Amino acid sequence: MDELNQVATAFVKYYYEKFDTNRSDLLSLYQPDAMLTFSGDRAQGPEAIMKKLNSLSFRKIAHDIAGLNIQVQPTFNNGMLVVVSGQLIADDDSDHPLMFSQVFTLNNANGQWFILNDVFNLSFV
Amino acid sequence: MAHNRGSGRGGRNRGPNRGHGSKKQQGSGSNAAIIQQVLPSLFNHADGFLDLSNLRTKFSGSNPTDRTFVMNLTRAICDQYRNVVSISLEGNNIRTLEPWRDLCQLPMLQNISLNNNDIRSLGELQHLSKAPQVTNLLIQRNPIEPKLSLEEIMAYVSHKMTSVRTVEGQPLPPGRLNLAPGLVHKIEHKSTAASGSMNRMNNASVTAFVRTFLTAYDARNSTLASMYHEFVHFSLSTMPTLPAPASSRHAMKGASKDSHASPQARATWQAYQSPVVNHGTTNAAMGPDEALRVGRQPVLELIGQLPRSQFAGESLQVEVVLRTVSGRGPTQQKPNLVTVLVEGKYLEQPKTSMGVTRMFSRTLVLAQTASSGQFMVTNDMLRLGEYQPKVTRELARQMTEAKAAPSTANPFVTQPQPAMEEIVRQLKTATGMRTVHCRELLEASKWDVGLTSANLEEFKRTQGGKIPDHMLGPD
Repeated sequence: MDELNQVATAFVKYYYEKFDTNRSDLLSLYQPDAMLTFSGDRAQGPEAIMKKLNSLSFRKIAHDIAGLNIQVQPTFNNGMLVVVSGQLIADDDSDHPLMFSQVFTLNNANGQWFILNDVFNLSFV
Repeated sequence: MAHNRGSGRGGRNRGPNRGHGSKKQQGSGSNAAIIQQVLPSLFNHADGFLDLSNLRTKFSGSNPTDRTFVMNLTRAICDQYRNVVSISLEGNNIRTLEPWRDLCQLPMLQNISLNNNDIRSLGELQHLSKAPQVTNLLIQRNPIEPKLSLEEIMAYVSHKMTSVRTVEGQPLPPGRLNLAPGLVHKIEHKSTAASGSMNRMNNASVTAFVRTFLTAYDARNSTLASMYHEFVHFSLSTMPTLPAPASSRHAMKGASKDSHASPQARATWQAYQSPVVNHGTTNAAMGPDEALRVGRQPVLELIGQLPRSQFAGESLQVEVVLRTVSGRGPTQQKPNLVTVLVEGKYLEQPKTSMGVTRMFSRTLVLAQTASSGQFMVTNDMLRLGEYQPKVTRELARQMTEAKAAPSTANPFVTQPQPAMEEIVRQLKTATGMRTVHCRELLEASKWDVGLTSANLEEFKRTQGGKIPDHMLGPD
């Protein structure tokens, strides 16, 4: 379980670093049949997902990576369920940090982890 | 037909706000003013054609499935474009026609195209049944279930929209069409049985299971035991409160893993503060507000120690994340998995004087057994939050869109932040208190929503359990 926590934490931190600094690097993290739900809007497949992530109404996003709350559980198909909550600052508006929650289901292929489901919501829990 | 002309006609596309270039209106598609600006460019006076196709591109940043936006739009159309003859609603991801039903008031509307949308049930046409003059209907390229023949579609349409004369460009046969009652049932009531085809895991059946599961969880009965898989993982944690809008920097710095749940949340956790993973290994990474158990028995034991709760209430928001498939297709060894996100309010220790409302978020992974189609819970991640006024996803989205909109406020006058005004309004809706008292309460706790709730509960206790009548009111 410790190892799983470490893997998940590393993956999630990498994900947000890329999201904040070089979002198009995320493309390779999504499985071919991946699905994204971003505040209710759905996209399927890595290309459509990147299109959605690259067209958000915020220009700049900074996730508080140090302050993430990450929970992990293994799933029956040898994957991982990762639930993240934390804060992000949009467009340098540090007076109004937004809380978000994100759920990933990850699968392993050839020693690498990929995202199958990605559900993002701004949240208050 | 008018609606096949698309954007070929000049004049229609020369409106002032066509969304190309840098002047994107952020998320204010529901703004009536934007609708007023854009609508004229969509209407062709010569043939009465109103082009509402691909609204997302015409009203940049709008969401054509957003009910408020649609209602504002249809209201404007009914007010000012009463001589509309044809409407195209193509390419709008429309799943339900309910918000569009005011279009039935257009007295001269004859042609409607619903091509290229997300309509799953022909029964949605019932929302247009009051349109008095619609004679031509197009509804191609929609994922309608069950699959119907053109004859069946025509029969149904002819009964629900009696003025219609052509469907998909084909004229209806003369005379009254025979509409079998079984057909109506098939169209309007989709079956929720999940037997047989494993690949068609149905939203309705998953949602029904989740409600049953939460009810069983609340009751802590033996049904619950049968719903948890033998090797289930269950984890539980509390979340820090929403940071106050005014105080900024310390909120960001303090939002680390051990940043603190309020005293109320901590008190609940006294009972089970041992974050020990089963099988004897401790998980050092877990803080004092978290717990994890693996295996049905240990999970049930932990749950048995938690305070009584009522999760299965009306405010549940259940979101089914479809098709978390494992490998290629279901087999006995690899069950179909589906991830479900549940959020809402739950009551802690209901029916007692300590009863308190909190927010929760619960992520479940369900596995469906191949033979019986039954679901079982393999993963259960429960996160508990503080009491909040009812801040929903929709509000969160609006708040972020409001922030993203360029500010036009007079720099010499401090405007109240839109987020704070909305919190006041939500508190007012949740409690019925007059606006002035809501604001007082929030200011006293420096806009700390969790603290506001605690203060309010305390105040109510001193007032015999409820807010005094003179503090309630519509203003």
